[in-house]
Amino acid sequence: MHRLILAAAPGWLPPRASEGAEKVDSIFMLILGITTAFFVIILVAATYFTIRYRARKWTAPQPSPSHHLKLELVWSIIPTILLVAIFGVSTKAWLASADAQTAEAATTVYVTGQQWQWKFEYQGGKRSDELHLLLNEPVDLVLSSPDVLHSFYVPAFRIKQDVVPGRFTRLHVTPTEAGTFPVFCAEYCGNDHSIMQTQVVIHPDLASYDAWKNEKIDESVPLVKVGEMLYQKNCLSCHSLDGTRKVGPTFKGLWGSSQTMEGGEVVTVDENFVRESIVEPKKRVAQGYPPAMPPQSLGEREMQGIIEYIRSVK
Amino acid sequence: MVAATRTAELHPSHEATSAHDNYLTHAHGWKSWIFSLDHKRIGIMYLCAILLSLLLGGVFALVIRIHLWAPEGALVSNPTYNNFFTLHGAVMIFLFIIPGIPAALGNFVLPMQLGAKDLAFPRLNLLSFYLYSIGAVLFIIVLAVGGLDTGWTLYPPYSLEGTRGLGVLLALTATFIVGFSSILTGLNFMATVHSMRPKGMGWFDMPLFLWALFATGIIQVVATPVLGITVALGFLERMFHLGIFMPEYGGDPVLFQHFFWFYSHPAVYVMILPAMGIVSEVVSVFSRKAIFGYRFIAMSSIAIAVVGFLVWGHHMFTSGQSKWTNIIFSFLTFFVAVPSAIKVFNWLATMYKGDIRLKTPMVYVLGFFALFGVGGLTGIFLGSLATDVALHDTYFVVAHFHFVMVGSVLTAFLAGLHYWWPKITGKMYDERWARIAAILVMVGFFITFLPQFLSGLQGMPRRYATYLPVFKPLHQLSTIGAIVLASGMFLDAWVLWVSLRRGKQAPANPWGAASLEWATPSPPTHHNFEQTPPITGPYNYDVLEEVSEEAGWVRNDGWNP
Repeated sequence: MHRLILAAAPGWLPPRASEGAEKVDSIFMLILGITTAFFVIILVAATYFTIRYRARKWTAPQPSPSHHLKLELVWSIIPTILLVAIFGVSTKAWLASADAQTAEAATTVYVTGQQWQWKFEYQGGKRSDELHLLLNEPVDLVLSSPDVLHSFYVPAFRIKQDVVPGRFTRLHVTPTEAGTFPVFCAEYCGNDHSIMQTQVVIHPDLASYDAWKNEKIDESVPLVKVGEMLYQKNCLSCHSLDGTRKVGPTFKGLWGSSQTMEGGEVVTVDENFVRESIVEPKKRVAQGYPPAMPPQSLGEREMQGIIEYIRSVK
Repeated sequence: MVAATRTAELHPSHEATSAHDNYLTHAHGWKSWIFSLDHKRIGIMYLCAILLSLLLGGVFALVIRIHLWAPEGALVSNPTYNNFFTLHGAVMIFLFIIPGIPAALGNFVLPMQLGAKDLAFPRLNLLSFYLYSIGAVLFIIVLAVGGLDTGWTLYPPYSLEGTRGLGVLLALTATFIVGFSSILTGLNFMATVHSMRPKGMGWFDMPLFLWALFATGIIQVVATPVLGITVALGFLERMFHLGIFMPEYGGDPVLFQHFFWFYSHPAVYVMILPAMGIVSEVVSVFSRKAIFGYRFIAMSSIAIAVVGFLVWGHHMFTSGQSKWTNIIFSFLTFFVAVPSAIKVFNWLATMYKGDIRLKTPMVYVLGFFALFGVGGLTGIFLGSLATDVALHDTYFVVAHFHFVMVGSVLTAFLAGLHYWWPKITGKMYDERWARIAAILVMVGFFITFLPQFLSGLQGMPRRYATYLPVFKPLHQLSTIGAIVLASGMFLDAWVLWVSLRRGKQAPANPWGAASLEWATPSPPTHHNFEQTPPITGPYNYDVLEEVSEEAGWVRNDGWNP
């Protein structure tokens, strides 16, 4: 039945990439159908009465009853029945996904939402800034936050779960469509709430997933290239290369320059300062900029790459 | 009943009635205003304060919409944007929509609909206004001390972080004080309706606007203290780290959400119930038909007030609350839709076989049917668990609550303002331009908020200062709509300004309404009535006859002001 309704669904619904998404869309379409019918009734009645009974010089109100118990009961009871029906259908679908939450999946991914980025850590020690999942493989996402409320929202999964500091919340997802889909933070979390976005990458097969999981930065890639790749992934949104002021200072001409910190201290941008700014960004913050940068954990070669890259941006 | 034209000699000409001593000319000087115990003058002061708040909140809204013209943000930095949406919400909700209809229009109309000289507690009424003003001034000071970027919902831990300045403490204090203003107004209205109904006016002989204000009073008195307690606890948590809401001291941020929405959901009905009251009055008067199903409408107001208390958890479907909590709150949420549906059908049935005049208030009310239809029906998507989990905290929600709180409440407020304007000011306004303004406001509204349903459905989260380029066309459409909406509002402000300066003198009863506020001159005398008019029923139009367009309607039982 719900496939039939879905066939009628217009193209403006976002792509569906999880087990529950089809069901959610079919309930959406069902409610849309019922509510549209009611809306049309209201509009038609209001328009027709306005035209038909519009006052003219020669018109007067015609007698009609000022109450009619049966009629009023009809339009009280019919909406009630429809509403209870919608509640039943919707709750049943939601329960199916809620009950799945209690099932233990083979894979667990720990999701950290922090101001203002998402971090994912997989069993086996792999970490990433994008969520990587395997097609048709159920996964448990365990969400937590070290600072304020966030909400993990993947429109293509039709799910959302608040990330609450001081407790763990869970999501159980089975991806059903390979591809790349946006991830948003849906609970307001401060200055750069709107850039707290990433992607979920759903690998079509185990080979592709394993290739990603075992991927190491090739030793033959020159350091500056390693740095550039990291920049594209992690730094781009806040640090410009052309001198434009973004959330953080630009990288242009940064290397070797003297910078004033909050509190008045003047530092020279060298290897150790760059390392400190990446590992402990809130320790010394450039004057006039918000303490917005989240701490990053990088390998030694990646750290060297970033340093080499900043050095290269003249 | 056909409008009968009589000779002017039978009735005192309207110029003569206008020369009477009225509440505006009764006393002079600014002290006669700020120390006035007259519910009408207090209503006027509220009206001015509320319209200023609407202007302030509206300017914030325009900044937001213009900023969102470009995906990377066209106007301000991200933190500044966050300040704007927070203050837009806080000012619009606490200073405009919640007090809007009850405190300004309700204050003016309620005693007169009872044929009474004033509210039960005139001094308490003035105190309410003072409290409201103090709260409003504090909100302005918040702007001056660096603003507030927590969202109007003030969710901890973000709102109560130790590094915050004075802004949030001032905002909590302002909310606390404005809350008391609301409680005292509700109390005053309930006491007045209970104790001051004239002989011959039973509960079911009251105009439905009074039922709506009474139901609103119940919510204000029962729910608002919880808001007071919540913001007081927030204040103490910030100052003394009690460990109530902040996880770092052992508190629970979700507890704050429960407390907050226990007030703030019923607060939605504080906004919409008086709006529905105005719609009931206007649709009946301009259809010249007794309201259809009076008891169902009156009782549905009470039902909404009661059931409205039991649905707050639907704001927290994704917070991680238990499965059964979600199911129960979803179930109860569906039930709050029933009384609203009943009202809509009854209003439509009132128009059946009527004699419908499309004066400005009626134009707004017809728009209300469409706007409230969309706002109410889209609520079903959000009450339903499966769809809410997808739509929660997206622009779908933004569009939904703007349809309910702005589309419906603002249009009903404007309907009420234009309906009672001749009574309040003694002046008529230009019907043609007022109707054009009404249509601009409503068309602008649809262009602004309909696209937001779509962008929300496609995943656009709310409170984003920047956004993915894929949402750009929908955002730009929204911004265009906001400009149309704003130009409608400014046009209407102009129409009303011109009416004040050189509007035609209003007759006592320009619309042919049967409730008692029209059985006193326009503007009313200081004491409203020399004696209580005989009660003929709020929707009994058989006792009224039209003299002429200028002289309005008179009662045919000989009792006229």
